[in-house]
Amino acid sequence: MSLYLRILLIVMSLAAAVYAVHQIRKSQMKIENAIYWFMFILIVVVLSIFPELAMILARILGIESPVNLIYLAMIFLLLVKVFSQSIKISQMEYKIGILAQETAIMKMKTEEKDPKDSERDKNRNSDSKE
Amino acid sequence: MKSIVIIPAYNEEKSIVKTVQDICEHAPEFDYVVVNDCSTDHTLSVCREHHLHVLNLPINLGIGGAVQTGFLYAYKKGYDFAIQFDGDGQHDAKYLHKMRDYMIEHDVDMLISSRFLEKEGFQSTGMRRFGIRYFSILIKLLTGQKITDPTSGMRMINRDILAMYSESYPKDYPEPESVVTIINCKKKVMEYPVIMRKRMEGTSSISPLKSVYYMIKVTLAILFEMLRKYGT
Repeated sequence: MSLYLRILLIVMSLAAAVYAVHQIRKSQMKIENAIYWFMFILIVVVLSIFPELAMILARILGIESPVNLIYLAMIFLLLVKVFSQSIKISQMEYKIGILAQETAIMKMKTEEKDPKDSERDKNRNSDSKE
Repeated sequence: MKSIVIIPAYNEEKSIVKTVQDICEHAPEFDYVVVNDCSTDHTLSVCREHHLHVLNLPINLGIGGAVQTGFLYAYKKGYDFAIQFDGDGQHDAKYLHKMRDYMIEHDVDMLISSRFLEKEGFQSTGMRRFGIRYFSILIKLLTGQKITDPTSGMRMINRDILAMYSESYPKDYPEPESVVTIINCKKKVMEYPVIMRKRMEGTSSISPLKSVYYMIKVTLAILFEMLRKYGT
């Protein structure tokens, strides 16, 4: 691996880490979700500082160039992450469904007591048809 | 001064009734609310059967989310004091009065009950004790304040803290992180010695593997809290 590539990887990893920290501080991301990315960044940085590790591993696996190993590893990790996010999204859609249903039932109960609540719904419903 | 006991409950069908009875018997002027975190056992039907006050969450939010629901409810209803209380029988309701009196007398913002101030009663298991000591030391290092029982689930807060927690409260393993937040706001945090019992029925929701994850995640969270304080 050329020196330029190694430095580039380290710099971009650190930039990504700083950005992740910033998002956590702005409460835009939870720490548990960020741990994966911190581990990812750590692996990239370690491999950039010690490319010998990548070279040894590449030789064992029969991969021509160590850079290809890094790309392969990153793609694999991304696939794992995307797959687990599909699962997470499915779970979230399920939960949103439950909340929507509960809200509908609750609204019916409160509208029976106070009919003015349904005004906001009428406006919102007609807007979303466009 | 209106006070309410918040009892988060996840699958506590066997002990929830006794817990509420304990509170009604020893602290009758305290209101209470059970927050059912979408239990998969018969916790909800047991509560309905005994006409307990229940906030029934339609989805599972975890301990942080469930307790925060209680805080939000308490704040909206105008309570002056709210106390978190476990639904598994580990906590003793006879301390409720004493803690509230102590809070009023010493003008405390947050009073944490501690098993380790006088080292009596159930002192928790080895692994948990190690974790507790770890956080105790970490908090002392970062904030200068000594908290002997940072994971204690019986904590009493006043309305100021109630407002803060209603808006933002950690979703899982919330106890150590939330204490650091309050200390960093220069609020008065003190501890009160109590004796806790062993868990009555059922199992704890934290397994050994989760404990390791807990410690890493909460350590990171506390470090982020400190970042927030020193505003980078």
